Amino acid sequence: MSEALSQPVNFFQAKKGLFSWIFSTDHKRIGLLYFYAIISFFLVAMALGFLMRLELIAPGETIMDAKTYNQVFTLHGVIMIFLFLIPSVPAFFGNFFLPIMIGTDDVAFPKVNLMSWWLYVLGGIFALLTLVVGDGPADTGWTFYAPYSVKTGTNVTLAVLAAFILGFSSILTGLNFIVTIHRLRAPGMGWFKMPLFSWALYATAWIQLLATPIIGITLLMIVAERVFGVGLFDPALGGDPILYQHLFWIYSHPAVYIMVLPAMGLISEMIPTFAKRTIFGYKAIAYSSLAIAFIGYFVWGHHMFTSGMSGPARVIFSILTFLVAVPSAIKVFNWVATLYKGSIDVKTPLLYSMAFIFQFLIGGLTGLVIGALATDIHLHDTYFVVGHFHYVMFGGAGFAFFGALHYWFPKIWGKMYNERVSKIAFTLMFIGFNFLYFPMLILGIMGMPRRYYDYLEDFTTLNVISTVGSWVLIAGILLMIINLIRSNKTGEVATRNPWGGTTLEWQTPSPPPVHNFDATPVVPEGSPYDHKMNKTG
Amino acid sequence: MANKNTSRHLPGDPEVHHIIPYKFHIGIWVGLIILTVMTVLVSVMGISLVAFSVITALIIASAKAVVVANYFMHLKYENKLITWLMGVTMLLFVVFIAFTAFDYITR
Repeated sequence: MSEALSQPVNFFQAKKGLFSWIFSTDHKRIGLLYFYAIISFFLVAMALGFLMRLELIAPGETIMDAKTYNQVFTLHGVIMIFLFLIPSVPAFFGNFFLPIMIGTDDVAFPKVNLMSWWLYVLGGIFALLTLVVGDGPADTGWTFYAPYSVKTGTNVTLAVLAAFILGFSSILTGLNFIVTIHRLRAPGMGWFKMPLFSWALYATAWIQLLATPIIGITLLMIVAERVFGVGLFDPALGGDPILYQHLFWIYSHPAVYIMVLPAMGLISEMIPTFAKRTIFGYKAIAYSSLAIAFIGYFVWGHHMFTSGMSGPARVIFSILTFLVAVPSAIKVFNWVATLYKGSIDVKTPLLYSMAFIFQFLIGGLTGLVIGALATDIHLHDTYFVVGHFHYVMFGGAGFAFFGALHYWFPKIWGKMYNERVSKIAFTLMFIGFNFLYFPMLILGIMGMPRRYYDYLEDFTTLNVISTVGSWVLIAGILLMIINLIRSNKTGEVATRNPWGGTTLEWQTPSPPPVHNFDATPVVPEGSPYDHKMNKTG
Repeated sequence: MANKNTSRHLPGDPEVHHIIPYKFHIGIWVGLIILTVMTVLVSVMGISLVAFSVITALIIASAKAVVVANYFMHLKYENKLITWLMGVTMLLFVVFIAFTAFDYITR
C-alpha cells in the first residue's frame, strides 16, 4: 500500500484540551491514558524497589526500620501488581491495538471502557491515600494474608478497597475485549485469521472476567472481618485462616496469567516481524493461550504447600502445576522454531523478545522447582521465590511490555526512536536485571528468608551484587524512557510500516486516524503472518 | 420457539429477534414461584426429598438457575458457543468449591 498523499487527521490532532482526553471514548486515547498512569505508577514502585535494595545492601538497619521496610515492600507489591502489571498490556496495548488488529473502529462498549479507566484512577488514588492518612500504608505484603491483615493497625482497609476498585476496572476491560472479539471482527477476520496478540487478550479477558470477582469478595471479607469482627478467618471466632489463602489464590494465581499471557501475545507479534517469517505453529500458540488460562485456574494450591493444607490436596495441586508448564513450553518452542531459518533483523524489540525467552525460561523452570512438594518445603518463603517471581513478572512480562513499547512506538506516536540509544538501554537493563535477581535464587537456596529488612552476615556478598544490579537496571530503564521522550520530539517521522509487519495495524497511517483506517483494511488471505504476501514493507 | 437456522449469531449478521408470548414467560415465572415455595417448605417443615435439606435446596436452586438462564436470559436461543462458555464458567465454579472442600475433608 502506498503512502497516502493527504494524511487524514490522526487521533492526536482530532481534538485538543485535557477534557478531550479524560472524557474520550476513543480506545486509542483511553489506551494512552492508561499508559501515562501505568508508567507513572511503575516509576513510583520502582523507586520503592530501589529503596528496598538499598536497605539490603548491608545487614542490620541501613536506611529504614523493620516496619517501614514492611510497608515499603507491601506498597511496592500492590502498585506493581495491581497498578502496573495487571493493566499494563491489556489496558494499554490491548485497548490501543485490539480493535485495529481485528479491523474495527473501537471496542464494543467505548463508554464502559472510559469508566474502566476512571475506576483505575480511583483505585490508584485509594492506594496512594494509604501513604498519607492514618497509621501509614499496609505492612502485610501484597497478599493481605489473614489473620495478620485483620489485626494490624496500618491502612489495610483502604489498601484492600483500592484493590477492590481496581478489580472492577479489570473486569470491565475483560468483558469489553470478549464482546469485541466475538462481535466486531472485520469481514473475513475469522478466529484463525486473528493475530496471536488478540488470542492472548481473549484468553486473558476470560480470566479477568471470571476470576476477579472472587478477589473482590475476598477483600470485602477482610474489611468485614476488620470492621465487624465476623470471624471468617479468625480461628478464635471459628474462622479459618487457610480459607483466606484459598480464596486469595483462586484469583491471584490466574492473575499471574493475566500478567504474563498478554505479554506472550506481544512476543508472538514481534518475533515473526523481525524474523521475517510466518510464525511456527500458529494454532498451537493460540490454543496454548486458552490452555494456560484454563489450567491456570486449577493450580492455586501450590502457593499453600507449607501452610497447613491437606497432604492429598498438595499432591493434586503439585501435579496440576506441572501440567501448566506444557502449554508454556509449547509457546517457547514455537517462538524458537519461528526464528529458525528466518531473515533475522536484530532491532531493539527483538532483543527484548530474546531476553523474554531467556528470562521466562529461568522463571518458568524455577517455578517447577517450587511446584514440586519436597523442594518447596526448603524454598518456600525464601528469596528463591522472590527471584522466580521477578524472573517471570519483570524478566517476562516487564521486558515484553518494554519491547512492545519500542515495537509500536512508531505506530502510536508516529516517530522513530533512536535505535542505538535503545540498544544501550536494553543492554543495561538486561545486565542489571540478571545481576539483581539471579543472586536472589542462590540466596534462597542458601536459606535467606524473604520479607525481612535484615539478614545474616553470610549473605552479604550476594546482596551487594543484587543491589548494584538494581542500580544498573534503573539506569537502563531511565535511559530507555529519556530516549523515547526525546525521540517523540526529535525522531524521524515514521511510515505506515517501518518494520515490514503483516498484521492490520501496519496498514493504517502512523499515528492512526480517529476511526483507525483511512481505507477498508485488507484481511490477508492466508496466515496473518505471511511475509511472502506482504507488499507493504 | 426459535428456528435452529436463525438462532446463530455470527459477526455481521443482523440481530435475530425471538417473539415469545407473554403467557409463556408467565408460565416460567409461576414455575419459579412453585420451586421457591418448595425450597421454603424443605427448610421450614423439614420435608426433604433425599434426607439432606441443603442438597435438596441446592438442586432446586440449580434447576431455577437453568430455567432463568435458558428462558429469561435467552441462552436457549443463543449460539451454541455461548452455552459452552456458560458451561465452562459453571465448571470452574464447581472446581473452586470442590478443590477447597477436598482440602478440608482430607485435612
